[in-house]
Amino acid sequence: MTPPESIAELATQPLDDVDEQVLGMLREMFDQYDPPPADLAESVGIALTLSAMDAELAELQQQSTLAVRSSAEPLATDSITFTSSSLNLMVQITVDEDDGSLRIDGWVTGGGVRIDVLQGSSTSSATSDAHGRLTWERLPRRPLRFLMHPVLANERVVITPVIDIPSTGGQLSSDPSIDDS
Amino acid sequence: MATMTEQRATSATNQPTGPQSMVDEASDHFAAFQSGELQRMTPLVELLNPVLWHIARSCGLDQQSAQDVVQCAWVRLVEKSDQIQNPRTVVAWLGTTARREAWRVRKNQRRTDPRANEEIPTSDGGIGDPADDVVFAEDQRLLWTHFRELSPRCQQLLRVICQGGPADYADLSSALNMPIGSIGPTRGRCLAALRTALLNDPDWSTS
Repeated sequence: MTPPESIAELATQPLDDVDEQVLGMLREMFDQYDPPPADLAESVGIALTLSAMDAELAELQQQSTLAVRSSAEPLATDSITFTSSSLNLMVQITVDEDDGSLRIDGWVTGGGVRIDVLQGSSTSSATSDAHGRLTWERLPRRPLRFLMHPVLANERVVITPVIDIPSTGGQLSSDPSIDDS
Repeated sequence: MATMTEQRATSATNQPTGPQSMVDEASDHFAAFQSGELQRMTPLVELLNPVLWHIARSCGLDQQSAQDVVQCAWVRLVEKSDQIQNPRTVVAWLGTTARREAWRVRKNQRRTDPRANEEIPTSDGGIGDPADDVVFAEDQRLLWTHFRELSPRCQQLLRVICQGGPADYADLSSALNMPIGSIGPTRGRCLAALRTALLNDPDWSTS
């Protein structure tokens, strides 16, 4: 039996084995039920890299109804437009019905602009053609953002907010909380 | 923090064979980073991400927002690294930054989502109820039951300090703006309350 000490008294005493055990079990419980995401360290690394590059955060200009259609129709979404001081980008994201992968058709203001699609720690690059067009195919179905490399050396790289990709159906959405610069 | 060495000494006597404390390890990495070993940021991130994650989650953020908050705290640290004069304060500094950012994000979310309109959120951050899990061990279920009866602030404190060792409690609790153990690692009211509840539960066994 524990002696009938008050909580206030107990609070001022040094930790003992029971405390260690209780805290150890709490840690185990939270590690099991709410662990940090597996790609948290990677995403921090990317955030630090972007910060070191002094990237400009593009604004989400237009986000009309972005439901990913799940019928047998072409799974087109409406377009998303990002604007920045140097570059504008419009994208359409399409889900392949067979394998669930993403196709992205993009139009950027200018040819020869390299744009990376960042998903976790993976990067898929494309460079716009003379009409400013770019395409990415067979991307995994997971949240993504775009990193634009301006053609002129004196312009800053531009990063867009993250676009959420629902695992099935639902709405694509941009996460406003990313805008903390 | 004048009491830091004293706390470490106390901890060292309690745990003679214990590993280096989280604060010690973080301090080593960060001091090296500050002196130009930039690659030391990687092990520092790995070491402290779980703590920052649980700070953000215990402020009631969803997983995506918590991830953003953790990223933000690291970016701020690198931006301000030359202003942090004592590398031993890096854990408290990062934790405080993550907590403040988490509350800022949550405040914004409250403005747009009336369901989130509560002064102090539940600290589980929506992990669900482990008691529903059939494989949840009996003692874990009891622990969860009593943990949930603590005040939200106590839940937050215990959730975060259990990520470190006794020598780290002072820094972790000060990051949460709930300083405990100014002289050596004492258990504090929250842990005293949980411990008392468990020891008074006839089904609890301290095996």
